[in-house]
Parts: sequence; structure tokens; C-alpha cells
Amino acid sequence: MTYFRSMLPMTSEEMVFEAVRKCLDDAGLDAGDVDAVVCGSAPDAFDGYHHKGLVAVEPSGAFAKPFSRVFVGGGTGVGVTISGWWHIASGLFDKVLVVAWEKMSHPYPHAQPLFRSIFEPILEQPLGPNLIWIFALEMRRYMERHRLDKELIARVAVKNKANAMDHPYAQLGAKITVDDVLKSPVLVWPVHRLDISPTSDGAVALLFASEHEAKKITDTPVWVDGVGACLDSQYWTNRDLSYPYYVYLAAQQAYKMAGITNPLKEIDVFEPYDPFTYKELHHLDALLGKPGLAPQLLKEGQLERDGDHPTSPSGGLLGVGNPIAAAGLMKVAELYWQLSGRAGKRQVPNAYVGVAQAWGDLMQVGQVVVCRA
Amino acid sequence: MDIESQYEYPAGVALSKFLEGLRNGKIIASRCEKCFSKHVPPRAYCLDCFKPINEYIEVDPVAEVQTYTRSRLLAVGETGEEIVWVFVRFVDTLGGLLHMLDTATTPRIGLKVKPVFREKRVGSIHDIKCFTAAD
Repeated sequence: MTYFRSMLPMTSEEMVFEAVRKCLDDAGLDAGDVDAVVCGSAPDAFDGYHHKGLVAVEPSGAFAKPFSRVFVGGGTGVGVTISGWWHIASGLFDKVLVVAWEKMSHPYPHAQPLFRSIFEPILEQPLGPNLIWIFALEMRRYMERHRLDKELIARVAVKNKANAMDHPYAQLGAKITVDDVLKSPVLVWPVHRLDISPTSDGAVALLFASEHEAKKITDTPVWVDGVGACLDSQYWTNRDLSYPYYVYLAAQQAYKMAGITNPLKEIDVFEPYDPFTYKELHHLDALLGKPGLAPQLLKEGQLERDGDHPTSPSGGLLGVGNPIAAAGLMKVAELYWQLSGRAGKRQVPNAYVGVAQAWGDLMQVGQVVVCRA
Repeated sequence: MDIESQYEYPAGVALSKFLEGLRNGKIIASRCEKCFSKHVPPRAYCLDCFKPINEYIEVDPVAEVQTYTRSRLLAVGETGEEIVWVFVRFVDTLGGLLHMLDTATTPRIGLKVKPVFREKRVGSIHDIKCFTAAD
């Protein structure tokens, strides 16, 4: 992967090439060894290129090969993972390269106004909605249902930014306190600045291989054991804002495939999508299938890297950064590093099974992957 | 690179009924003939039964606050004044609306509210000035 930075002085094409080249070098392969490429990137509006998947053709070595772009909003990073797995599972391909990137620094002065078009045009857009509103509404509803206070939720930012200090590509690793989060400016109550992941540029690449090819490439392969994907209603007003049921359903699909019946006991590493502090808890609730359990585990210190249920040991989007599609794939890369024993200072002891999840569009996409050492 | 482009979206069959209702100071729901569920804002088809909807009815303009937030931020820049934004669902209906709460009302999840209509109405979401406590 590349560094995640707020304004990386590289083009999208250069970022993709850097991530892909590192991935191929790590696998001891060259572009010619790859059968097909799956790329992922969020809305074209961020890059300002129409049909921007095409910028990844040459730098991913996809020229004259089957090439596709997967797009499921913020869920894209795990969406490309699932698509890469489909390619291999179909039996048609032995080696598939998966790459995701985002260049959020192109729009000037900020990417935020581009999100306006995500809202319904007749009844919502005329109110001038800011994307953060919707998260503030959801966060408030979540807090109300489980009687949570801001002090507890702020601990997610403290944990993830501290974890990110050990991530070599992180944008916002830092030692901060709960007080720092609570004293940071309120953007849209109850969301403070330090509750939110940054806008970032960055790219991540992973290689998927069939069983017999994987064993030739590495002695420590990590296997995709289960995948799941689920969409909730396009109308956010129709959902239960306090529990992402669609993430629960996606997780259940993946667990069924992986033979997991008790995720809390059987999964060693959790990488839920954490663009906001409360979202880590909201998503972890759904991955565990128990509304309100994640904040309880956080309170008990069990989500720390050395806790019983390490969650976002990478540092997550809050610490490593949030180049949308690349951020989700970074979470899958973390599972690879953790489960192959290559996570360095971030290594979770006895990590054999991990789950990564990404989420997006208008808060309705659940994408889940379970990996095993 | 700068690109300026305007977009015009049709309200469509179902939301046209709703906007017409707002112009008349009424809240209009769609009702599924099969499951009888009511939806505000109205939909052209039932999201559950996957059948077309042809029935539109006026509903009691009382809604319940599902959640709320306070913000100075709009889509672009700040407004200067803090606005309470509420997500309300009309009683006995599905769906809901995003809108402002009047400054005199203290927001609370579960609070019953009603729309305050403007005197001059044109068939827009802004025909509702804001929501206020129902009691």
C-alpha cells in the first residue's frame, strides 16, 4: 500500500502503480503472471475523471486482460475483495490482482460538497444537507438506544489513533485523550472533529490466488473463508438507525460459509469500518449479532490490541486514514498481515481468524469478509 | 478544471402527490392495497409487497421525533445560527422526513411534533416552515 495522506503529491495512476508494484514484489510475481484485475474506487466526482476506473488499467498491469471496477460506495474496499474471491472461486482464474484507491484531494476547496448529491433531490437536497448530519442523527439514535455517553464513544478515537502509531503508512496516528476528543470542535452535534476520520489519498493492492497457486507463492497464505454482502433500503428514513441490520445479514452470510457460529469466541481480530467513532461500535454490534455489546466490550477494555477481542488493530480509518475504497481494502490487508504473522508492532497474539467489514453508499451497504490463517 | 452543470429532477408520480398536498397544507401518504401500509413521503410502489401503489390518502399531521441533531453546517459553509434538524416519522406510517425544529421546542426522541405550514405555499418541502411540538 501507499502512504495514506491528506494531499499525496502523486497522481491516481502513480498511487495505483506503487501499491500494485509492492504487492507483486511481495508475492515474487510480475504483471504478466496475473490473470485478471479487479479495481475499486469511490465516486468519479472525487477524482474528477469520468469513468475513472480506466486510470487503473495500465498501472495495475491489466492491459489486454479481464478488468472490472467494483463500486459499492464506502463498501468498495471489501466489495473488491469479494469480487476477487468470486473470480478465483469460479475456477476461471488462478491469480487475480485487487486494487483500490482514492484521491480525495482533487476537489477544491474540499470534497464535502460533492456528497450533497447523495441526498434525495426533491425533499432533502432543498434543505441543504451536510453529509455529517446523517451520521449525527444516527449517532444520536444509537446513543439513545443504549444509553451511551460521549466519553465512552470517544475512547474509540483514542484507541484507534494510538494503534495507528504502529502503522507505517498511517496519516493520523497520535496519542490523544478522551478530553482531546470532547474538546475538539463540534462539527454537527454530537459529532466532534476527532470523532471523524480524515479525507485522504492512498492506494492498496492485494493478490488473490487459487489454492494450488497460493502455496507456490508463499508459505503463509491467508485464506478467504467466507464472504457476505447485503444492501438495506435506498431510503434511510426506512431503517432502524440504531442497528445496521444489513451488516448483520452480510456477516451471517460470511459466517455460514466459514462455519462460524459464535463470532465473539471464534474470531481473533476484528476490523469493522470506523469512519466515525460510533460506527466502529455500531458495526461491531452487527458483526457480533448483539446490539449494544460492542460499547460494553469497549468499556471493559476488551477491544484494545492486547484485549480479548482486538478491534481495529491497524488503527482503522480514524488513525490510518480514509481514502474511501482504499480504506476498506486496508482493513483486509491488515487481516492478511495479522493472520500471516507479519503485522510487526501491531501483531495480535494468536491471530488465526479475522473479519473485515466495510460500509457505504447512503449508509446502506454491508460487505463482510472472513479470513483464516 | 471547473464544470458548471444544472440538474433538473422530476418529482415523479408519488412525490408530485405529496408536493401537491403540501401546497394545500396537507400531509399525503401512499397506501398499499395489499398490506395496507402507509408511507410518508408516498412511494409509487410498495417496498415490501413489490406491487404498484395507486392510492394516496391524507394522514393526521402528527409525527414522532426519531432522532435529532444540532448544526451550523449546511452543504456548503456555515449558516451562523444553530439549527435543530429532526428526523420525524408520521404516526402509523413508514418512512419519514428530515426537517427543522422550531427554536422554541426542546428536541427529544419520542417527542410528538406537527408541521408549521407557510402562508404562501408553492408545492415544495419549504412549504413546511419547520416542525413544532404537537401539544
